[in-house]
Amino acid sequence: MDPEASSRVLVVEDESAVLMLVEDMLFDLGYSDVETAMGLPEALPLARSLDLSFAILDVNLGEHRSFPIADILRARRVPFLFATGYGEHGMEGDYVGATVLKKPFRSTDLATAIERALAAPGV
Amino acid sequence: MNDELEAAPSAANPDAMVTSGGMMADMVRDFDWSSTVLGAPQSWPQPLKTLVDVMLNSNQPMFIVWGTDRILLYNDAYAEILANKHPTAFGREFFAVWHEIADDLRPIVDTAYSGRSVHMDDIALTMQRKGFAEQTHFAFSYTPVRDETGAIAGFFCPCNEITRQVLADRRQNLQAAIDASLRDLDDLEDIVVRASRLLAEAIRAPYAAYARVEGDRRHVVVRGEWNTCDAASLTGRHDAHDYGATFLAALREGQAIMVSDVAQDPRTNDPGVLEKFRALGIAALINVPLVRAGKIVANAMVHSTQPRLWTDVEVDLVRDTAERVWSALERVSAQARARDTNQRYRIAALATNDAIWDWDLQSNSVLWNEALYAAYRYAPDEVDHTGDWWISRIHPDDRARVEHSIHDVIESTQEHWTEEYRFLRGDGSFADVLDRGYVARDPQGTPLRMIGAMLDLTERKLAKEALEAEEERLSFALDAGGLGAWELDLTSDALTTSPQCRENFGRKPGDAFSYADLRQTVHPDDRDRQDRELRRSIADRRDYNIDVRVVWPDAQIRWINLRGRPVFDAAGDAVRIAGISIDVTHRTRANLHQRLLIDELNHRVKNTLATIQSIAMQTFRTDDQGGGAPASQRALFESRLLALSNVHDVLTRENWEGARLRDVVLEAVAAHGGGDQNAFTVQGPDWRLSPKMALSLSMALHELCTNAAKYGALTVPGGHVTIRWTIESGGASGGESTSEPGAATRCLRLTWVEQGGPAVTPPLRKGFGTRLIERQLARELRGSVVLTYAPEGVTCTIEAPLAETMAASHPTFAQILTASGAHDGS
Repeated sequence: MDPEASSRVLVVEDESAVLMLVEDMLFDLGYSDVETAMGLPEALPLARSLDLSFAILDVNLGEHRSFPIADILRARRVPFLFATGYGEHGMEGDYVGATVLKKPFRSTDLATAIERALAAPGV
Repeated sequence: MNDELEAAPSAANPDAMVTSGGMMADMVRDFDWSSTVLGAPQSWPQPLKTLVDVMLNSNQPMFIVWGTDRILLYNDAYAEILANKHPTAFGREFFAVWHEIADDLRPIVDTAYSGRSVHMDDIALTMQRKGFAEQTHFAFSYTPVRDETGAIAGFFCPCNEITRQVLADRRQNLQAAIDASLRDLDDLEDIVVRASRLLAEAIRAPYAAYARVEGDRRHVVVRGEWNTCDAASLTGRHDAHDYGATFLAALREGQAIMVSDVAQDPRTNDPGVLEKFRALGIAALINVPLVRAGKIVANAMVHSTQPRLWTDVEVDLVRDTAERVWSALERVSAQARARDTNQRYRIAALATNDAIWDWDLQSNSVLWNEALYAAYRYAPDEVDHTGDWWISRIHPDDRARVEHSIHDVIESTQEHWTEEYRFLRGDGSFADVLDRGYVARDPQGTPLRMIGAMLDLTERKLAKEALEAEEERLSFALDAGGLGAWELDLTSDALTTSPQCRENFGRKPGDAFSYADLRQTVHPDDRDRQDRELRRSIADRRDYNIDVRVVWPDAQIRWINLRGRPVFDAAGDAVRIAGISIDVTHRTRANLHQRLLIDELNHRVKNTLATIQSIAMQTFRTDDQGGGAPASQRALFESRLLALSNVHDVLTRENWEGARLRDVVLEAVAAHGGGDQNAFTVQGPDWRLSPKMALSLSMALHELCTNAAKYGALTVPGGHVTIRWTIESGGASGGESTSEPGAATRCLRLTWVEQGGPAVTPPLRKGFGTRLIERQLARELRGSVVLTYAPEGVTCTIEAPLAETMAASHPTFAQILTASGAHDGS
């Protein structure tokens, strides 16, 4: 995927205040085209359909986990990173070793995580 | 004529007389009777004719003396007695024939001629009947015979050979003599010599000996001999082979050997062998092997220096002697063995701790060994050597039973008696004893004595009770701990389980529970893991330890911890594994639950911090009117928030059971120093902090870092911060101490020293950081915090007691929440 083709970013986060913070951080980092979703049902169609530069996924979405979204993105070769309060050991199965951003985080931490996700092999 | 005579033999017919009766009949017929007073047989008086007829037809030696000249007539059998005197003796005068004993005979003959019968017992005669001198014995009777005129004309003498009777008598006498003679001897050689002498004398031989035959049936050892001749002594060991193969063969077959003349006998006259006999002076011999239990064990022998005809009776004498000597030697050996046994018994009786008793039932006397005194603490003079004394020492409650049972055995035909009872010791205490006895009876079954051993079971019983108590304690410990016990035989897969173990697997205590049942009960997902653990335990020779899920019959799933240790045989093969089982469901669930709770807590804390971060950022965002907070203030806020978050990470990694001091320090300084970690020197021993202390210290270090980065050493290149700490024994300086008196109080002393920064001036107003460090930290640590603003650099010294933190190394979940809450509230 050519990063130039789309600068659109998908953020999935069920905590609205945190979602706003991430949106602001992304804006400050120069990503103005941000799509957001706060639950799995809402996020899945976006993940399937949108042209995306990368995605930021909160692991715990209330009743659901965000791994089905990650599955779709991986299939579409869209880079993604997880943001989670659990830390790295909250990862499961195939996603152990994926890029993880521990909440809370600063925008510099976010920028570093985005770089790592974009550079990750297989993407 | 012969036919006629044979058809009608008649005593009156002289032809009959001369045509029968063997050789002597011919002599009667052919003899020139005319030269004698008797005249021709036809003219003989009828009584004489009759007697001659009787005589010639008899196998019994007989003779007739007839007429005034005492003419001798005799038959074939008597010719043998006459030996060399025959045939010239026939028809001669009786006294001329027996001239050598004529004087002895004359009175007897006269008596017979006077009309009275004469009888003579046992006349010993050496006869040459068989070509050798032969000892014979005869009885004679002279019966007067009258002629037709009624006058005594002569006498008739039938001779009875009594050699056999005489020898049989002699045999009996010899047996009796040997028995009487050997009865009191107990020296092996004495017995042999004495018996040999009696044998030699009975047989009238110069040499007799007795030899033991060795197991190879070839070598013989002469144990003793009787030698009255020039024959060489044979005492010692001999190889029977030296006396000829036939000799040896005969010996081996157990046959008696009679050799009348070694020079003539084919068994002994081989040149080499004959020489051997001659060298020993042996001309004739009897050798009788003695067979016992199918084996030749001994050899009795009689030798003669002259050729001599032996009789079967003499062989019997030799055999009798051999048997008697053998019996005597056996008796002596048995007595010696009995003496040995007796000696050994005495020694054993002395050595044993069992009280050994020997009860003479006839006299009711009891002999005890020393152990009675030692083991049962009696002084010798306290013991009355009777059966009654023993009975009286039996515990009254046991006495009737024991007395009854021992008399039952004695009065029956049984030999063995066993009883357990309490026996009174000399010191008044009772010993538990096992008493075993043996009744010795005479052949009629009369009990003579009883021998037994009384074994003190007290020690054994105590040991057994101790063992049982130990097992009971172990069993109790297992039960109290909810521990099941199991053992698996690895060769047969046979599983043994305690009731508790079966309960662990959801079975009732009484249920059967095989290894197959156990395998079936383990959750399918855990079976492979369990197999691997068993294989590894055996292969690595280490303890077996695994938690498995077990599906109980009611479908509930329990976690069971199984631990065991494999046992190996001498060949190094694992033969069995034994161990314990325990239901760890609660522990396992609690662990899982705690993990989930901590994760959830952390997740919520982190999300909350992120939310606060967002709210703060939104709130203090610079708006279009230029309101809000400057970016630097927002960054400071963010960094404080993150410091709090980071220390949470440290605690989460450690399950909120505390955090390593070093981790807390490194985590706190990680975000500072402009990424140049060389700006920091971190030094100190590792120590485990309580969660609360970790949180407080972390926040304080963050404030010190922030201050250094904003105003202090970290504002310039080359600036440096040294963080050092020590753990010291002794009380903390200042601050309240809650450590208990006498408890080892340890104290953390941590120093923060800035160097190389710009000159420091004390702040005019104490901000959040300073207040947090100086006031809150000291309180939370129950220690002291000294912050100085020396011009060359800020220093901070933190002292805090550690004893409490150690005691609180395993906080409850509630404590963790309290710790977090306390922090939030500060």
